[in-house]
Amino acid sequence: MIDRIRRIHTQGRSHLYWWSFNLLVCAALLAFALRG
Amino acid sequence: MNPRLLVAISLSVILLPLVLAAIGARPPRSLLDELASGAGMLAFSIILLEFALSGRFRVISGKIGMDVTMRAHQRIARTALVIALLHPFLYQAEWNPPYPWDVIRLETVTSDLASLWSGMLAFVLLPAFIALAIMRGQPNYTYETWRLSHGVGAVVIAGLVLHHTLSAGRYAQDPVLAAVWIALSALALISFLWVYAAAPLLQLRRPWRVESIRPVAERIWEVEIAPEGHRGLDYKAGQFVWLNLGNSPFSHRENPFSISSAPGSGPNVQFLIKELGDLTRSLGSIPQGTRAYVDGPHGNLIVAGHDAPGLGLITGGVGIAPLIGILRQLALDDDPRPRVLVYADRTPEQFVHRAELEALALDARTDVVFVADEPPDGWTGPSGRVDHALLGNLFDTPERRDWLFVLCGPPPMLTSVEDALIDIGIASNRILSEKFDYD
Repeated sequence: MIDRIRRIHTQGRSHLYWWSFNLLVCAALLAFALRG
Repeated sequence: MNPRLLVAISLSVILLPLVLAAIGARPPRSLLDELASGAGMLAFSIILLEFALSGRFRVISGKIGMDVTMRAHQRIARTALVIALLHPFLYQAEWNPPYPWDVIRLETVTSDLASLWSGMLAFVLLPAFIALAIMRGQPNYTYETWRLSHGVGAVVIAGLVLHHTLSAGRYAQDPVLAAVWIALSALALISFLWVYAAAPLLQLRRPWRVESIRPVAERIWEVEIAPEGHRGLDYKAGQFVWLNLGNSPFSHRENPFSISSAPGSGPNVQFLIKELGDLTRSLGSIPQGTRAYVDGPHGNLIVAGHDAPGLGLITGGVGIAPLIGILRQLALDDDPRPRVLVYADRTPEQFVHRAELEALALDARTDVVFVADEPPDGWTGPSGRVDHALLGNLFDTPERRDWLFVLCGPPPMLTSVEDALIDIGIASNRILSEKFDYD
């Protein structure tokens, strides 16, 4: 498991960070739209 | 800048307009209308943040590294594109001129062309702009054309979106949010002017002169420049600069090249340059004494300051440039740490400074392993790819797993080397790498 996380961190780190960013953007957008 | 602080500031910039809109006086509309407006605001704030992530600001790329900065720049642009394209199609409210009594624009989305034209134009330009950026490696698309068109195109699109936001945006009618949009746009414009006007002006005051250009291996040239009337460049071994040979700094005809000299060897700076693109093919015809300009130093392949007990330097092709700089500086410093250089290329004729590297390897602290992908008859060293087996033989020992590993070379090689090092048990924070595919 640790190896898997490390691999994600180096090999796929930009993907991981990007999808985290996309999730955050979606969450912010939903929170904004649902605030009423 | 500390990476966490950088991420916090970036996310604050992206979310600030949305938060101001949410706490403003205008009540929410239907879910889809709010998603549409929110998507427009988020796309615009990401576009404005992109100016800061251009890779030309050391305060931003210095700590997180150029690879991460450029990857972030490229990836979040795609996010902005998707939500910008969704933005107009999510509206459900009536597309009408605002009703005179509806001062908070609760009932309609404006259909006034005077407010929409800029948004429509940006809607068309943004995908084309990002497509051109993705295709920048195509032949007949010179680096200079790419840089200038990308910078100017970004400013034009941001200007159009600002106009659209201020004239058509429901939430941007709030003076505070309007002021934030204008301020963020002004910062983006300032960053553009810095890169395209102020930085070239500063370069003009610190000129360099080409001291020598000579071939050092098959299709690889060594370029040496000397400072003219100033003290030179304050850099660390392993860094790179954008180098402009023989053109005005305002022409943006510059390319990123790794420094192969050691900072301790004097004010002259050397580069190893492979013939690849438009500029590098004509290197042999550049005369001695040609004026040169330098933007840098950039990059984080820096071993100085790391407390690792040893160093593994792994490279392929012209990626040797920063690593030979590091080896030279370690020798100058009489650094006691053991180091192993793994240097791969297609054939032995392509190894640069082989004699110097072999001389460095006479020192008991330094090992140099040449790896020939296509070895000639009689080759006694390792051959084929730099793979798990080779790296395991070299580095799979308890004491070497704590070493610092510095990687520079072609992206496919670095990906497989990183993979192999992780498999061996090297912690990812012990691996510094630069794929050297910058814009």
